[in-house]
Amino acid sequence: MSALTLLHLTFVGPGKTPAAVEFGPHLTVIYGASDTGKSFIVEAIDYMLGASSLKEIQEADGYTRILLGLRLADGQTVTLSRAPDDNKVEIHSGDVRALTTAPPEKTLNVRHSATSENNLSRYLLKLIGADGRNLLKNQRGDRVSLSFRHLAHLCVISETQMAAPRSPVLTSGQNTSATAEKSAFKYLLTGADDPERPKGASDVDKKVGKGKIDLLDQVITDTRSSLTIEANEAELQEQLGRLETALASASAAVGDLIARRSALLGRTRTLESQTTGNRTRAGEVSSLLARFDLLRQQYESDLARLQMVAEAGTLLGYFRTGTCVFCGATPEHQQDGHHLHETTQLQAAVVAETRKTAELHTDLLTTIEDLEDQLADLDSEHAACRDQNEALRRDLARLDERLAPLNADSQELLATRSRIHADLAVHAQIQRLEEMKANLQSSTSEEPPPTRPDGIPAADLAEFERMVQQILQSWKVPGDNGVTYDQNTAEITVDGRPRGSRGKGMRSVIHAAFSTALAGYTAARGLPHPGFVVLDSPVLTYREPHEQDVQLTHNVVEHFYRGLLSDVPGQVIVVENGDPPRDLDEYATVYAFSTPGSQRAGFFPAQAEG
Amino acid sequence: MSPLNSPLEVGVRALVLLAETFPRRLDVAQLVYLDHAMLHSGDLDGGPDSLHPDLPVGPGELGLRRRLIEQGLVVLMRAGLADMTATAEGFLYGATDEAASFLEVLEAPYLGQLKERAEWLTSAYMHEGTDVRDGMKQITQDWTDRSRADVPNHGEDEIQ
Repeated sequence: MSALTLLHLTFVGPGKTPAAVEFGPHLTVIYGASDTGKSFIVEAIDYMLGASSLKEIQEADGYTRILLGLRLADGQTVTLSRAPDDNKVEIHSGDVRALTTAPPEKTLNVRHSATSENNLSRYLLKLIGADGRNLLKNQRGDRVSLSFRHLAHLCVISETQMAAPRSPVLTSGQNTSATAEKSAFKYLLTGADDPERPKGASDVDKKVGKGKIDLLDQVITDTRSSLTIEANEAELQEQLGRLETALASASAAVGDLIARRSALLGRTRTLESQTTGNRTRAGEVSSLLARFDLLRQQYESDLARLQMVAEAGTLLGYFRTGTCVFCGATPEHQQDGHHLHETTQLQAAVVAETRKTAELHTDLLTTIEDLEDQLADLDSEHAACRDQNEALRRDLARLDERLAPLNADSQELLATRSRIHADLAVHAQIQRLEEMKANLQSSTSEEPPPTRPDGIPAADLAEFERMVQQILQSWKVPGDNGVTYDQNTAEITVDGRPRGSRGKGMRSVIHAAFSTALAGYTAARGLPHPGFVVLDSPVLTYREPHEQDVQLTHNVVEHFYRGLLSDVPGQVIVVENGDPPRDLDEYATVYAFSTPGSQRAGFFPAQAEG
Repeated sequence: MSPLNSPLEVGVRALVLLAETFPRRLDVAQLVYLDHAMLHSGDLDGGPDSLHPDLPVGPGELGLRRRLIEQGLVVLMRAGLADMTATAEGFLYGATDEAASFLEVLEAPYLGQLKERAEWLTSAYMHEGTDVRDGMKQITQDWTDRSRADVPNHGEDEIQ
């Protein structure tokens, strides 16, 4: 099913008999004399498809609306309604063939807009599945939004275009539009529009760009040399994942040991402070013992002196040193019996003094013993501390032994991880550099960029050329009909002779073949195409005088119509002066205007003189 | 020889005590104990502040004090400030008549503080038959308890 099928073209006006022509689903042929409105039908179809104006002819006076019935790909019917000389088009659903007061489903502007959908061009493009595409506008890489008008001249071909020396692709003849027109043809042939591209560059830019590219190449090479691991990015990422897993488990093992280690260290510290306290007290006790030992010696020497006094019966010598404390006599003058008057109580006093001193001595000894016990306790506690400490040290050493390889493993893993991180960063850097370089190259490359505006893949183009050749051959156009399409000039060459250099007849036939081949090619590949072809005067048997070209015989005309029936899948409407084959109306919708025995004088019914 | 704890200094302290207890006489052991109590009066119930700081080896002083007191007494006796009598209670020392006037001549504030404490000891603390043995035991016991409290982490020893 074609995207669009034209159902009818109808002119209506208040009090006017409608002027209408119905189109067959496949082939419609309208033939007859000049000035019967044949070409006007073609122009009106174009007007209804968004052409800006329709020439005014006398016969059309009084007709206020032009209706074009369309069947859509999904089988729905709509009618486009436009007044002559109006830039609005109304859409009615259903097949409308008369003046209607029913409000239209929507009213659209004729002018295409890339930003608004409220226009005929976008409406039609949506119907054929070509909305929202872009064409290349110029060699600098600017783009223009694809409009239905870019496609219209490839499926509705007026008589002038048909025979014009200009390429069928370059309809406007404007140099400024050539790029977009070639781009539109390329779009139909490939179904691919032009993606956004970096702008083209001037010569200076190219030189600078070249320098930049050389520099970038150098930088990329240098950067590559800083890679340490023989692996691509994906492999590195995978390695990194494995590493993280290994690290996590290593950390868990290490973490456990570390926890145990710090517990041990805590106990060691506790033990150390205990030891310190122990030693402090041991020091105190020892110095006390030393002092008490002095006291003990004092008591013992007192006791010895008392014993001596008791034996001697005199206090003399009790005070050990120097002159007598009683009479001032120096030791050499002191004599036995000195102070005897003092010694009546001496024995009792000595006994009492000895008893008291001995008691104190005993107490002191007890105290000393107690202190010595304390010291012994402290010392044994200290020894126990030392042993514990030693045990803790051994535990720590064992732990450290176990930790060392784990730590080394972790260190190695960490080192590897940072190497991988570094390499990944380098890879990212290289990718950025490559992108920069690619951007520079696409904007500065000397040879044609890979996506030139008319860059149609060779295989597609060859296939299209072959289809044009087949059609020409099936129409029995003399010659081998080898066809080439030049993407730069958009010129079609048949058998080595450019179409523009051919006679009018050949130009028209080639144009017709080109247009029908395009419809067939797109249909076969499911590519967007309006789905119909309207040809005005494709097989001109009339030849200009002095035209040096192959003679198109009536044989060609015959095979042209048969070919259209069999070769082209979509709808074809042909407007022609010459008669088609006689039996054509068995297969096609045929209108004869002003021919002997024909029903109709022309497109517009003869108006009763008012 | 350090002037501190010299026989002279200790002798003067002994003289303060003897003058304070006059006419009562004291033996060496009592003098040793009272001298200690006079310097560390803060350790006793209701006592004035201690004149000497509490040193870690506080009672260690006792080791030297007896010898110093004896030497100090010899100095006092040579100076005629104290005398000794041999009685059934042992050798007892007492201040002589010259002692009071000698002490009054000395003006050091420290001496005043010593007198205050000696007064307190004789009036409030001492009573007949103060047992020097108990006093001495008390001193060492106090210290032992205190030093144990000072040192925690004593293993499974005792819990204060």
